[in-house]
Amino acid sequence: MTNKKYDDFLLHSLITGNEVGIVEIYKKVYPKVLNYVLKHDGSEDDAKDVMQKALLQLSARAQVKEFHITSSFEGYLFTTCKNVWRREVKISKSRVTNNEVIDLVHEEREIALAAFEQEKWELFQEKLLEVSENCQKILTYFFNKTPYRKIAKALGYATENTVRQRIFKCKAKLKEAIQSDSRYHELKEL
Amino acid sequence: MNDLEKEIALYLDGEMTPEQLLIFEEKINNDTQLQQDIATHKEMNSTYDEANWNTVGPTTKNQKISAYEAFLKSEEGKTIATSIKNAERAYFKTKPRSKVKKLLLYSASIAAVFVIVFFVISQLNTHDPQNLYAEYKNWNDLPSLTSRDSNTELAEAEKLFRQQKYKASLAIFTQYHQAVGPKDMNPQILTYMGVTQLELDQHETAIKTFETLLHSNTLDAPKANWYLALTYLKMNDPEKAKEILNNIIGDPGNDHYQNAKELIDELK
Repeated sequence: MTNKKYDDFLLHSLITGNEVGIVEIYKKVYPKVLNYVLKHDGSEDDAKDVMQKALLQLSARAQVKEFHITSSFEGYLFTTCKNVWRREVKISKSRVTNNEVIDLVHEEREIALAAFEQEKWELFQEKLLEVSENCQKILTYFFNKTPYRKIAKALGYATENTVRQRIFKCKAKLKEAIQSDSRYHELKEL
Repeated sequence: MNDLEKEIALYLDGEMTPEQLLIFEEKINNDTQLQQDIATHKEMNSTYDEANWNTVGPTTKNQKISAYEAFLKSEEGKTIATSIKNAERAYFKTKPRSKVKKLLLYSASIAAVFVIVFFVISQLNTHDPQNLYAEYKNWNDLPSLTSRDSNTELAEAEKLFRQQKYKASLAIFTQYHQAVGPKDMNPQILTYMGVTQLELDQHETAIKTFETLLHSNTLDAPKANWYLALTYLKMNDPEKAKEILNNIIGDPGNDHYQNAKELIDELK
């Protein structure tokens, strides 16, 4: 089976609930997910939970709208799993910091929200690729909280102020690219 | 260059003075495009930050969310969920069985490898500068402003700080700090300001605040070194942190001498 055909078989298995195919997916992706979650302060149970949630999320998205994966199925699912774990960590942190009793959201709704957020994340990644390569680099540093002086050093800018000015311009361009995409408006929260 | 972009950045970073904030909030109320721009910027900040995730509220309404939820709750959705659970069970059931002999043969070495791996991971984790920052920051040690000053505004700012409402507390501290001249500068307010900026990830501003404290002619000035070291740890710059910790170690009278000694050992 070619890679493309194999990927189609895996995605189709998830859409139709073919257990043999889904076991194949586990064989391919689960060890990586486990490794990632363990490295990022999670447990084996967390890894199992992440995998299930990502598969359900993907299945729901593929059922609702025709779904095309441009990279490999394995890579795509793994990215989704990483994002599911980032989401879990963020939610559990905000529960701890707010010291509030937060109503537990029903599992189906939680997965639906995660699927929506993942879709938005994918759109934002696509939009980032539309700004210049230089903007992509400087913004990636900036959004990941790299100090200005380090950005200046890494990208060869003379002063921190030049870096700041460049970031303003790049952020404005990126914002424009995002806002002018009709899919962004479909993904608006009401 | 659009000045509005600069204003948005200052607003989102909590770096506006209370006066600027009032004017800007008025502008936001009257400008729907500005409201949209701020929302997009917030989304950009959390989406592109690899240590974060852009979550939407649990009650968010959108056609797509409703469609996904409806599918997951449908019979078809439930069937898929069951298939995934069955597949998971089958995967974990067959996986150890097929390797049972191998596992028996190599169980001892596998266990040893795990011990080593976990030891290495735990060592790496503890020595990660940002973990060390979390371990060593202790804001409960900061002096209480309530007992030292009858100023109720400061007491309120401290309360907000303790409740981790950093933006609101920083606004009060900044206002207070700017209102008094450099001669009457209160080192404790400067400390709170710096720590609050640090918590808000305004690292560069926090450094400036602590440097002002460091160069102030006050008894609290030497403490600034400790906060600067913590700031560099949080910024993932252990070399710079070590440099500052060495200054503290050179001064056994420093309040943070012991902490600095321990921390520098952990960073070695």
